[in-house]
Amino acid sequence: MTDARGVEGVIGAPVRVVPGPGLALAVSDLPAEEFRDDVLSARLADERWTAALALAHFDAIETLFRAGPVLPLRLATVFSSAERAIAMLATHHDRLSEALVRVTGCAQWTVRATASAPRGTDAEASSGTDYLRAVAARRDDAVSRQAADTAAATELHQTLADLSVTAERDTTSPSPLLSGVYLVRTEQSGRFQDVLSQVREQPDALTLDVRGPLAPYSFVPRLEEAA
Amino acid sequence: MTTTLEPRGDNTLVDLLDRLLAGGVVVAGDVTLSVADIDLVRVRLLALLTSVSTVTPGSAV
Repeated sequence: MTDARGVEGVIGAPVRVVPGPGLALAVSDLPAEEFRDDVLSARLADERWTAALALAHFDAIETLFRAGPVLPLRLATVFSSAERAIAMLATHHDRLSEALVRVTGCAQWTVRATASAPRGTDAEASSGTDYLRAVAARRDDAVSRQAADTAAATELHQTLADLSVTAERDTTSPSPLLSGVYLVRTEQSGRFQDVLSQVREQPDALTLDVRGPLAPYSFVPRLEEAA
Repeated sequence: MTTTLEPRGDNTLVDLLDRLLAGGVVVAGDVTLSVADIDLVRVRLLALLTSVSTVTPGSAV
């Protein structure tokens, strides 16, 4: 990536590429006084400003990503000069280069699966017994369906992971049934999507939400964490 | 290769947003958003998402 002409960055500033040692940074030049730590913190309280900032950040990354491999940086990473930015590149050169090689030719896909179970409407019960019977039947049905959905989600994750370079499943919460992120080589993305299409076509299919191809936000090295 | 966000009335956008915000290389810039800042950004964006009925379709994220 040596040319970022036409790519719009945050607050409408154009994106330019700053070459560094074996790597390059895509940057926007911004007014320093508006992106000082304290000013930025105050600005983040304005949700519309924050939304515009985030959208511009993600838009610029995705535009660059369509032209070649990128490692997204966290939103609002500000350097006071190009020299300081290049110094950062030099400091982390080896790990960044290694990571860039790893994601080259790959895209991130996020897959979220939720249960398909139609929410049963309360049928008109002609008697109390009928009503209780209907409630019990619905409960039994829900239990078996839940077990089937959970198994299907796990199987889907395994299948998708097998087609991926790396895969991560978020297991911190039981809902949704599957929240996974996959780093998929471009030549495998057709098969990856075929698997998802097949799942959608099954009766009682899981409800899938698929996002991709995206830049590899979740497959980047953790270098430093601000306090 | 197009990436579009289709607005839906559920949590899918929130999931994606969390992934994007939590992701990315974290380096020490002269300003770097901390985890707490990112949480704040998340809350602000969620507030916005829930306060507008539609999100512009086609916004690449």
